[in-house]
Amino acid sequence: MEGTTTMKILFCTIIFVCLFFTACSTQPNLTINRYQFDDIQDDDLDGVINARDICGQTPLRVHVNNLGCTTWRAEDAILVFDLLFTFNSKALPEKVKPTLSLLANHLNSNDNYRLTIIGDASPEGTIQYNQKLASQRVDAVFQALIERGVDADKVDTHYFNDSQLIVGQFMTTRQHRVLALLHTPEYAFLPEWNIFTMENQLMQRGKP
Amino acid sequence: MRYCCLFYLAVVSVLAYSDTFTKHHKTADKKNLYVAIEEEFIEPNDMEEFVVKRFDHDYSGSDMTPVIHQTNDVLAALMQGFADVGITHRQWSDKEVSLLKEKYQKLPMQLIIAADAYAVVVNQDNPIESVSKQELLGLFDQSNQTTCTDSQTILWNNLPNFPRDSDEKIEVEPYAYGSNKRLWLAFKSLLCDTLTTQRVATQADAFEVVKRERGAFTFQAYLSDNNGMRLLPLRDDQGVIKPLRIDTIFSGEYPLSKRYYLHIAPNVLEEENVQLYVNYLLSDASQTYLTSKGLVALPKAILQRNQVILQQRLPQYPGGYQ
Repeated sequence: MEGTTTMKILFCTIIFVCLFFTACSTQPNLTINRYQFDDIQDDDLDGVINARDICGQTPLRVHVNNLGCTTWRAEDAILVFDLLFTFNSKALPEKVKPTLSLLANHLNSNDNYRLTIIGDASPEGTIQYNQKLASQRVDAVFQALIERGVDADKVDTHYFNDSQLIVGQFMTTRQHRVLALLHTPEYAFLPEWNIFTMENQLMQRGKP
Repeated sequence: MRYCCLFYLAVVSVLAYSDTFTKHHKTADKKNLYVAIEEEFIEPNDMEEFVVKRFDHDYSGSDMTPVIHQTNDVLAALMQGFADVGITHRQWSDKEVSLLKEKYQKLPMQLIIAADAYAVVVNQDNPIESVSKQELLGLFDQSNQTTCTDSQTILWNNLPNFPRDSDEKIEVEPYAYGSNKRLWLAFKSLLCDTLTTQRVATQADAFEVVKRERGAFTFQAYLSDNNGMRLLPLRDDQGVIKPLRIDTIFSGEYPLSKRYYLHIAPNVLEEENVQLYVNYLLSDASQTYLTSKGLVALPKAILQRNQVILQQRLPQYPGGYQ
């Protein structure tokens, strides 16, 4: 009998305590009523909101750091010009002179532009003869550039049989010409790696 | 007694001379701080007052004096070393930040210093209920914010939400008022720089015209009194009407608003004088002055963020981030 009374008291106490704490609890306020001062848009779509992005106009498909900035580097872009000579001739043809003037203008107006000229000759004849002819053609082009005000230090000369990497890369066929490579360094961004990156790089290397 | 007087005069003379000399010496030794600033931010007449005079008055003990470098391209001036700090609405591009980092081995700092925000005031009977910034730009047939068309009559009817059941042609007639040139420049730059308008003397005159003419519109800066005029609600790119409020202005949500940034060149970030000048620009006195010129002063939340960037306080906000 005594045990039953104790059980009743205990039961009532538990109920009372439960009711007491339930009465004290309140529903949390889930509504947010405050102003948003930060610019949470992402104008350049680099994944960093404008409020935290110190680099605007980030190019697409690049890797960015926490500040929304990507990596840039100086890249050497090369424009290739074929200056064709008459067969077995060292005289500078009239039709290449406008191209030479254009090259001279670019070199004179851009401090960081450089030119590589590679003397060539068609494969007929001996190596010694062709090398002499290529050398005379290079001299003709070089002199024409100097006459147009180009700084001699900006021009690098090579011949078809040089073992330089740049010669092997661009001299894929033999012709009666001088190959002019205009180096135009550009500040370019580093693209994000993807499954086509290696393929693209190999294709770039394979380009004449 | 006579000797005492003579001695006193001698001492006073020496002190006066030394004080003059010190002052002169200080002036001669004062370093220049080159401040590049765009005209859109503050009128040329107020530039000297804001950039130089008020600083010299409030910080007379400083051994630095600001020198104004007014330019259209503030960031180019900073990059080329012609300026130490600059105020412009433009932000650094990714490429520019990279070039600066390469040059100085440090990143530049940018802080929001103020904002501009405008409402479009229209006639009560104008049938347009709301408009987006793109639609307003489209009215003037241009997209690059540099030139407006003036070859044809511009009609409110060209807006997509103009009531189709109405045959009435309502011509768009922009009105500018000449009392504050900067306000007009800044408002125009948000639409297009060559916007041609009819000009009246004061804002009240412009409001009178807008009350009379059904197609007329003018502008009004944030916080100025609209005298019961109708403000055209503006929609954002998602079609949501954005109220003209301090939070929508600084978060960039309000369409006809722009923020101005204070840029600090990386090579002068550590200099004490530069920090002093930055404190001056962000001070209550400066912000009050900018408000008097029609700009929107920084709210407390943005000031706190600036202080965190300047490492003047920890990135902790009472009550959590807001």
